[in-house]
Amino acid sequence: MTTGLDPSYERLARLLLHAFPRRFRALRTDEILSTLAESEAAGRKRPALSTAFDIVAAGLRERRRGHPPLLRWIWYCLGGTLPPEYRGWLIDDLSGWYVLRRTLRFAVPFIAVLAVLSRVMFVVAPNGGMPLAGFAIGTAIGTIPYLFLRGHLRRRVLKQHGLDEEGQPLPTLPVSVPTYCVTEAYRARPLLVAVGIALISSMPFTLMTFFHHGVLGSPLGLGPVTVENPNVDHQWAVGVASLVAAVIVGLISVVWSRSLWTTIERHAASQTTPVVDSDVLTVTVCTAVIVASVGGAFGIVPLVLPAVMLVASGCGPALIAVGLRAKRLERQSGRAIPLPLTRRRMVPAPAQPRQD
Amino acid sequence: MHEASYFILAALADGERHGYGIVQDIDVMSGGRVRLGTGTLYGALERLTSDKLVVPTREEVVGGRTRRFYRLTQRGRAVLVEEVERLESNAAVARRRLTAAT
Repeated sequence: MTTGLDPSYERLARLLLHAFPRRFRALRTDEILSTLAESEAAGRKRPALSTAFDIVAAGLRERRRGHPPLLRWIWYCLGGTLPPEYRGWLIDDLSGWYVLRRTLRFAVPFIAVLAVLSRVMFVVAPNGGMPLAGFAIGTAIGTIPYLFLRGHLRRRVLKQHGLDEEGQPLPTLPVSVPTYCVTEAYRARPLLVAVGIALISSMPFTLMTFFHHGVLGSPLGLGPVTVENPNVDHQWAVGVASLVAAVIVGLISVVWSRSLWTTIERHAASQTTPVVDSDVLTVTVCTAVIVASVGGAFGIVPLVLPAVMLVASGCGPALIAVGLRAKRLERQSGRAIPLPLTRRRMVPAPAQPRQD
Repeated sequence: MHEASYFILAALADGERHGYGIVQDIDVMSGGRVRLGTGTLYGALERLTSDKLVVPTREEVVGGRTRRFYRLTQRGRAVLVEEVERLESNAAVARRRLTAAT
């Protein structure tokens, strides 16, 4: 691209323009460079200090202008829907480092609460204590599925806001009519049963862990939790119990959010790409296993809690509320919505008159 | 209304201009008092465009650089007229007081 600018000037100017929101840059970078070339750049190696300051200040003002107000933003972070006037901001938010931002939004308040809790628990149980390092590692592990699910998350949030993948509004359809369903629910139900059985059979181990080491016990004494273990005989049992418990907790959160998702899907009728991919399940289960194995070695609670929190946050508290409501409506109407038996097959609804 | 927005609307009152054209025009109009920074200019243009007071008209490539031209919309013109009248009446009030005092 030739804007007639000194390359180092252009590089710096482009860097400064990052003060502006992404949507603004996409539209105006070239134009601004051309104006800079006309106004001051001739022969300069870098922008004047006043120009740089002006660009950054204007960029930050522009960012603030499009940003949703604090309460709306918190609602959005919890999985809520923003009104249409924040569409531009939303689309920007979903691009770039979305997964990192999303993780931090969940993790920072969560870890802050745990930090306070750990102080309290340290007083209650002096040989317990919750190491923050463990939480941080757990949080990092909990982020893993989202690294693979970026596109999925993005599509889901877009669809929640009634937008297609290009960020354009979807045609409005009557919400209560299912146009397609995904068979995930069929897979989720047996899994739930299996998890229940595993949970019950592992109860003795779990209880043993609890009595010998407290809630926060460190089975192998490797991790950030350094608890003197008076009873060496139980170490393996405790390790296995932690592992099993971690798998269970992970799976429950997976299944639960899956089942809610499916319900939401059935209610949020739409003819575009199905939001639910079976990849989600695979990746989340893998993560649950990783979390569990690491959790087993390092002491389960500090690692597994944040990881599970993040996995469950795939649903988002606000979406959980929506899902529960959808489930209740389905029960009340007593109408079981038929699911196709073929995996991931989309079933178009019988031609319905549009109710606009 | 921000001073930058006001002067941009004023600069576009008699026809379309591109970014640097607006900056130059404002410099002349204000007798060098208002020097619009590039960031401020485009921040203000973005606001004015999204409020539909100003629209881009065409693009022109000069020496490998893209220039985008803008013009006032009917609404932009109405807003500018209103603002000018407000400023005039504000100025008139103060002027009357000043002349009465002397």
